[in-house]
Formats: sequence, C-alpha cells, structure tokens
Amino acid sequence: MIKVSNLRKSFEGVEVLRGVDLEIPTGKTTAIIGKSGAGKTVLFKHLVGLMRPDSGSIVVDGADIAALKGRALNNVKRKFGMVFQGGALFDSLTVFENVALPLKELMRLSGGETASKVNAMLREVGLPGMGDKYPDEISGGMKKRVALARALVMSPEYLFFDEPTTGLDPIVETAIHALMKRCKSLSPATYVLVSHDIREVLEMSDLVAMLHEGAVIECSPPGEIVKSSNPAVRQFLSGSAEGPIQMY
Amino acid sequence: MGFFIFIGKRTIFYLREMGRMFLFLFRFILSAVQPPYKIVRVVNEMHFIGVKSLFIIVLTSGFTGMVLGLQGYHTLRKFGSESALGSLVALSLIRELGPVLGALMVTARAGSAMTAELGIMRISEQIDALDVMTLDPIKFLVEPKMLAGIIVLPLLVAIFDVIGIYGGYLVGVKLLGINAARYFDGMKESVEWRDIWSGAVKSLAFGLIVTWVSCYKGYNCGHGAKGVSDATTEAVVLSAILVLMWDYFLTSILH
Repeated sequence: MIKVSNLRKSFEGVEVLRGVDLEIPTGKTTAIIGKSGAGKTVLFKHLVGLMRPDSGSIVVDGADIAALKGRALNNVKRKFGMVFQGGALFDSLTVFENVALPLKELMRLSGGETASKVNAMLREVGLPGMGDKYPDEISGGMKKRVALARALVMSPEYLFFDEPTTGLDPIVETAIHALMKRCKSLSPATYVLVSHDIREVLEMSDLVAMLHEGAVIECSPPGEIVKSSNPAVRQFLSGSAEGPIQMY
Repeated sequence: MGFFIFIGKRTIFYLREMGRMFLFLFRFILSAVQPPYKIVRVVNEMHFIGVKSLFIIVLTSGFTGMVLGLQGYHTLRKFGSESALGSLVALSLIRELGPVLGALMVTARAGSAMTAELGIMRISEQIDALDVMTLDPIKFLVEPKMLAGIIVLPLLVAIFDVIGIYGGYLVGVKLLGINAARYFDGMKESVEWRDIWSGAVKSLAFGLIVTWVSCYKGYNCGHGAKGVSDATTEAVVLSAILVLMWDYFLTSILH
C-alpha cells in the first residue's frame, strides 16, 4: 500500500501541492484526476521517487521514500514500473534493447534468458517480431505497448501510468485498455494512473482521487464519485465551464 | 536601489549555478570510482568524441600550422631569424594552440552534440525513465562521456600538434624555402619535455571542462525545444570561456 500524508511542494514560492493525503490500496487500480495544472504530474513524480517533497511522507509498504536515499530508496523503487506519457523509450535503442535494458542492467541475465523473456513480453503486448524496429519507426500506440512491456518485464508490484492513452485513436485506446486489463489479470500489481479521460478512469479504476488546488478533495470508487455532491468534482466529471474550477 | 537588487539576484543565481555544477562534478567522480565500470560505453563515446572529430582536428591543425608558418616566416625574416621558424611553430602549437584550439573544436563538434543528446533525453523523459528503473543516469549516460572526453582530448591534441608542425613545414620549407634540417633542428633544441607535459596537462583539464559543462547543461536543460537550444548555446559559450580562462591560469602555473 502507498500512503501519502500531508505532502507539500512549492516551486519558486508557488505551492503546487498543499497537503495531499491519499491512500493507494494494494492490488487495486487507483486513478488520479484533476484539471491541467492541478498538480497531478507533480504528485505522480513524488509517488515514483522522481521528486522530493518539501514536507510530508510517502510510505510504500512501510518505507517512507521521502526520507530514504541511495540504495535504500532504490530498493523500494525496484518495486515500481512506469509507463510514461510519451513512452520515454530510448531512441538510440531498438524495441528489443529497450525492453531488455532493465533485465541486462539490473538482473544480469544471460543473453539467451534475456531474449526469451523479452520476446515473450513483446508477444504478450501484441508486438511479436517488432524487436528490430527503432522507436521512431513505430506508431504512438506501439510505443505505449513497448513502454508497457519494458515496465512489466521486471514484474513490478506497483505500475504507474501517466496518461496511458492520450493522443491515441479510439480503437488503439480500447486495445490499450484491454491490454492493461489482461496484464493486470496475469500479474496482479497495484496500478496507479493519471488521466484526463473520464471514460477511461471510470472503466479502468477501482478508486478515483480528484486533485483540486493542490489537495485531494475526494477519493472514492467510480460508482460513488459520479454521484458526488462536491461541486468541483461534478464540474470536472461533466466537463462544464461553469463552476468552482477556473479555466485560467 | 533596483540596480543593487538586480546585481544581488544575478550574483545569487550564478553562485547557485556554480554550486550545482560542482555537485554534478562530485557525483561524476563518485560514480567513476565505483563499479560497475561501463567500459564498452566509454569506448563507444571515445569513438564518437575522438574518431569522429579527427577530420575537423586534422583540417584545423593543418591550416593553423600553415598560417603560423607563413606569419612566422615574414616576422622572423625582419630580424634575420628564419631558422627559428620550427621552434616558433612547435612551441606555439604544443604549449598553447594545440590544447586550446583542439578543445574548442571538440566543444563545437562533440560538446554541443552531447548537450543536445542529453537535453532531448531530459525533455522526452528518458532520463526520468532510467531513474525510475533505478539505473543511475550519471553512471549510465554522463560518466562514459566525461571519461571518454578526458582520455580522448590529449590524444586529439597530440595529433593536432603533429599535423600543425607539418603544416608549418609545408609552408616554411616547401613553399618559402627554409632548410628542412634547420626547421626540425631548431625545434629539437627549443622544445623541452616541460612544454609537452604542460600541453598534456592542459588538454586533460580541457577534456574535463568541455565534457563537464556540456553534460551538465544537457542534463539540466529547460523545457521543450527552446530549452535544448538554450542549453546547447550555453554549453558551447561557457566551455569556450572556461577553456580560455583556464588556459591563462594553467599557463601561469606551469611556466
């Protein structure tokens, strides 16, 4: 489980996170929603250890990653896998080399073992025989699938998705959702996703946390959040321009 | 009052930036002394910085030596000392022009490319991806580039010196008719090990400066295409300034 308590972060005097409290239960899919600039990406980067908070704690299975450094922090981060918004594939490496990288560098598997694991993972995400391609030779949807394969190949306990389907057409979007569900059924990790896509959030998640003005204002299952009485939540879910959430 | 606030803010900004740069250098040193050693990556970077810079080094050193030969000949002739041309060309190249021009050429060709590469990796979240995978980006990306630069620059400078001396020979001996034996004998008499040593120390220091500044600027670049472009410009300008400044300090220490 990940427990975020009173998390605060400022940039040049502007407080982006103003005391975030959030519990991400083990084995469930938790979605973080909120308007652009609400602090979702900043919160996300704190969860995966890419940023350090000004104050507050992020406890992952009993270890506060906000207080850890070096090897101790890496031991917790090895539980994480992440699918970045643009894929963040290494553009000088082939698809195969991208997926093989963590196996080669962290697990020091033999060439044969690495190849069999990578090829199995590429088959799993529907990209058999694509290992020789470079990231700029494949489509956006394929990049997301390669990024998913790279994250899954280390069998993470926590898998983070940053806008998993942004910029994809509806057919590829559905295919990615199906793939995420299949992966979850095969390896029951805890999924955390940040998304603007309400349909995706309601379909994929067990819990939805709404971030507004640097704090979580509501965290409940999709069935309950759609009935929320909070005006900011209602406005965001309906996509209305009128309400407490200002566009600028 | 506003002027003093401006000066104060800029001073704090530059002090902070210097602190960050030294912390970056410290992280590189820590990483370089700890295993695993990325030897294959270092060799690949040596190929990129060294072999791929060879053409530009040969071209610039050849013309530098030729210009030195031409200018030196006309100046020395006024004093009837044409025979000192070999010494003039060799000492100028070995002590100063080889390390400085070699470093500036490597900055222009390889330093800018390093900054752009790391900058693009930063803005496309590739560096963050390494971090999440617990692969230290300093160990994985920066260390091979900096080690390669420190190893390769003295070698490139040695090539620069040799080609430059032959450039001077072409103009002085073949074109202007100085005796070949006098050109090389003068060189043998005047060039000491201390000169070669000081050139080597300078090129090692410049190798560190160029790769350090280039990697730091790329690794910490701002947002978007503008961020990468600004970082690349800053890396080239700062590297060139630091190379020239350190050239003065090292010259005053080594001579």
